[in-house]
Formats: sequence, structure tokens, C-alpha cells
Amino acid sequence: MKLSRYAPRRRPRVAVVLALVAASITTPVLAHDPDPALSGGTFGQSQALEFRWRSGSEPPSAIRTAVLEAAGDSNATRASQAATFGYDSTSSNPIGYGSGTCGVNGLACFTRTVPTGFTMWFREHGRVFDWGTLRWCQMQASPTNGCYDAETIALDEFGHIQVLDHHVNYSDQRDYTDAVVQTFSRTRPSAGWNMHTFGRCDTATLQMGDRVEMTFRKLFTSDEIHNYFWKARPVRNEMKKDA
Amino acid sequence: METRWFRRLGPGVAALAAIAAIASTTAGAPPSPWRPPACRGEPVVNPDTVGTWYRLDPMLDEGTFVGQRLSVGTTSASTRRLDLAAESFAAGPSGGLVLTGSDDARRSQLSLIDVAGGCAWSVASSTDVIRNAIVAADGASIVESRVDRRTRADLGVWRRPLDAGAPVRVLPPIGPDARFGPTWLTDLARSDDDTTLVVASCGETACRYRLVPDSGAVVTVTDPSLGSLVGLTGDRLVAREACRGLPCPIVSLDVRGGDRASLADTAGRAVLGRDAAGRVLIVYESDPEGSALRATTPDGRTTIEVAAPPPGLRLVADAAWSGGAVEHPSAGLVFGPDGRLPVDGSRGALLRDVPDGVPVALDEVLR
Repeated sequence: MKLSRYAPRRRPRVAVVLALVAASITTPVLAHDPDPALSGGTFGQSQALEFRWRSGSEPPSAIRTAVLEAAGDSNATRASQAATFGYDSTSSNPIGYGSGTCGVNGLACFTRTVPTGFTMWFREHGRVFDWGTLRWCQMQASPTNGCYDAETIALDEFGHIQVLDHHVNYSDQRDYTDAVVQTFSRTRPSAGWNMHTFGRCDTATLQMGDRVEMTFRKLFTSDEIHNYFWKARPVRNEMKKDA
Repeated sequence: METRWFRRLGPGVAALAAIAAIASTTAGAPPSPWRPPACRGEPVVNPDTVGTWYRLDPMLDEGTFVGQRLSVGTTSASTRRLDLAAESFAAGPSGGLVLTGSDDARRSQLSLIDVAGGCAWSVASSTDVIRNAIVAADGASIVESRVDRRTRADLGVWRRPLDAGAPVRVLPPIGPDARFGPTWLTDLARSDDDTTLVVASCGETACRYRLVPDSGAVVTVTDPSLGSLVGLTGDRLVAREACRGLPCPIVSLDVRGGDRASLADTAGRAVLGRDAAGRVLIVYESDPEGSALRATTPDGRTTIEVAAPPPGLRLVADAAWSGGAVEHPSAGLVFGPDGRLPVDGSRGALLRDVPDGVPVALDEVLR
């Protein structure tokens, strides 16, 4: 008797596995694991998070465009039911241009307050640091080597706001492009300087806690014997609804 | 008859019209930057001074950072504003003085502004880039960090006497370390008892610490999990973890014994304060929006609930977070709009005693 490809549809919706996220906080993270998770919890599944420009510290047009594109990048490549980002001038989540809450940190920074909101700040083009002068590629008519891609950095910040902590790379950094959310940002033209999609180590963490359903799947065939077993997959309707 | 009156009154009317036109065009213009006159004598750091404040704001030209506007004042004197170069800083206030550095791409110029006196001393000019500086605990010298003008290589930390004596190097340049990356900012601070200089060489997120006591050997803390400084109290270095944002854990490290204590898992801005008994506390925002406060002892063993910030205000932390500072008693917490001192300094900011929790207007108490 041949089994159909899919078993009769059962939908034992598995509860949100937040424990996985909690476990990832306390378990030492190894190189090339999924990104570690920040404490403070996650936003709701597919929660729509809106942002506006901070009054009095509004980013210049080129940076605004980069942030909007990064929000789109995050929505398009989250590969999960993580929150989505969009602009709304009435939002209570401001994105600013200046030092804001960055402290002594470098390029940009964020705050996240689950489940209500977040903020983001970008340092100003031309601000001088010990190593030299910060240049955003988007603020230059002809981007020069050594500039930072504001869209990549904004995507990194959106990843932090979701829940992602800095990826732990192999010592030789060969897996750098497997994650946008990095401790050290790269400048043009180093590999990974202009990543506009989440990497697989980012999305692996974003998928933690996703609602899944069980499906009976043919896993492999050996000696003409089909082997089937249960497998978890993201709930189909919710993924379609999110897309 | 009529033409004669026109001839007599015409020039006067025209002059009045011209004055009115000039007045109307300049009334809305920002006042021209203050250029402080030279102070007489040697700089005097008065340790009993309170109420002097400063605030830095970026000056932008179509989104490009071109300089910083420095506002200074006291709770009883009007605000003055100076324009500094893009590569510039302010520090203090220390004994009524605000230390500024401004680099015009050829030389770095250090000035000490006597805010109440309305004058300034030019205390140094260097062809190296002076990136940051503070008045030393002795009040008789300045500690400064420098980089090479051409290569931006670290040139170490130097002590410069205010009596025009030759600068002496306190610390050598910090070596490269891939775990921290290039140095973005060298933060300088003093321990809460003024006996130790704290030098934090911060990369994109993590900081290396060198602690220089008045007497004894330099202590180096190289831990890539440590981020920016909250303070040094006794042997305990209190710092955030290496986060790119808030909330962020706060930890304290016994720099002699190596014991590490977790003070807060999710903290916003934080400052050192003191309770009624004079005990040092780390007061921190217990949510990233700054709407709740908590305090802990430096060893993390005792946690104390602190009254929430006054409505609409949040904790004013150190200059790296607030872009400014005010001299106030160590038992007080300062609150301001958005966690900053208002542009006009004292107005709108509140000072609250850590022990009794009663907020008062900054300019009521700091006179």
C-alpha cells in the first residue's frame, strides 16, 4: 500500500517554544551557532512595529531612505514569524540622528521595550572618533572605501530590536556573512559590508518560538522502501498571511 | 510747503525704517557665539562649587556633522553658547570650570572656561590631536588622551600641569586587540573617591580599562564582555556589558580579587549615587524607557527600590549618554527631559536626593 505524500492533515499546534529562547540565553554560544538572543523577550509573532522620525533629530533624507529599505529587508528576509517594521508618522517609536542613547558606542544603537516599542539612533556623518571620521556611504555622492552602509547597519539594529545579539563568528571570520548582526561592522569594500538580507544564523534565532505544525513526511527512500516520519514546519496559513 | 516737510523729515523716516528692517531680520537670528575673554591669573578649581553645567549639541549642515555647540551656565547666571570644531569635546564641570578641546585640523586647543566669571584660560595648544581630557583630581593638572594627526594612532594618556609645565606621559598607547577592534573613544574618568584615574579605550561596543591609582601599579582589565563605564568605587569597576543598545546588563568587577557580580540584567542608563548613610549605590533605570529606577550596592548583594523619575523626565547620566553634566552633590540624582539637561541648563531639570526622594528644581538648590 502506498501512503500518500502527506498524512491526513493533523494540526496539533505546538505551543510557542519560548523555552528555546530562554535556553539560548543561558547556554554558552559557540561559533557559528544561531545568533544568541537578548534578554527581555520577543515581540509578538508577526507583530507590526511602526516607527517615525524623531522630532528635532530627524535623519537626513539619505539615511531615512536607508532605514526604510532596511525595514523592508527585515520584513522580506526574516524567514520567520518575527515582528515586521514599517513607517508611520504617528508611531511612538522614534528613530533619530545624533548621539541619543548610544553612550560611548560607535555607529548606531537601539532600545527595545517588549512588547511596546523601540528606539534607534544613528551617529552623524562626519562625527570624529579616535580612529578617524565616520562616513555613511549613503551620504556621499560617490561612496568611498571605508564608508559604512547605513542600510546594513539599520538591518543590524532591526535584528537587535527583534531579539538578536551579536553573532559569534569562527576565529577566522569565514562565517561573517552568515549573520548581519555582528559585533564589528565592516566598511566598503570588505565582504559583508553591504548585506541587505538576514543571514541564516540570524533567521535561525528569529525562528525560535515560531508556531509550528506537525506534518508526516517522506524523509528518504532506501532499497525502494519509503521512510516517513513526523516533522515540524511553520504553520502554513500564518506564513502566507505574513508574506 | 509739503515738499519742504518731506525734505526735512524724509531722511529721519528713512533711517528709522532702516533700523526697523535690521531689527526685524536679526530678532529671529540666533545670537552670535560667545568668545570668552581671557581670565586673569592662574586657573583656580574651587571644589565647593555646585550648579555649573554644560551641554553639547551637534551642528549639522545638510546632515553632515560640522561642529558642536557648547552651552554653559550656572543655576544663577545666564546661558552662553560657543561653537566648537567637529573634532571637539567638553568635560567637567570641575570646581566651576568647564574644560573644552577643539581641533581646527592643524592644532588642538584646550581651554578652561570659568563659567561664573565669564572668561576662559587657554591652557594648551598641541599639534597632536587631543581627543579628550579631564581636570585631574589635584585640580592642578589636566589628563588628556591623544592620537597622531596623520595616522590616528594612539599616542597614550598624558598629564599636563596647569602652570604651563611640560606634559608627562601617564600611559603608553594601547596595543591593537582584535577582540575590541579600533578604538572609537577614549573615555576618561575619576574614581568616586578621586584617588584613581580610569581610562577606558572603547571599540565599537567593548572597552578595555586601565586604572591608574595615585600611588601603586596600573591595573589593566581586558575583558571583551565589558562595555562602557558606570563608575569606579573602591576596588569595584562598574560597567555595562558590551551591548549595542539598551537594556543592557550591568556588572561589577573586583579589580584586585577578580570577583564579578551581576548588578542588573536589564538596565537603562545608570549613575553612581549615595544614600543617607553615605553608602555608594548604583542607581539605574530598570526599564529601557527610563520610567522606573532601582539601586544596588556595588557588590550586588543589596537591591533597593527607588522612586520613579518625576513625570516627563528621566535620569541624566554621564556625559557620554546625556551630552552634558552639572556639578551637584553626590547624594543627588538629576532628571531632565529626555535624560538631558535643558538647553537653558537649570530650567526644567530637577535634582532629587537619593535618600529622601524629594525632587526640587535644580536652580532652587544649587546656588
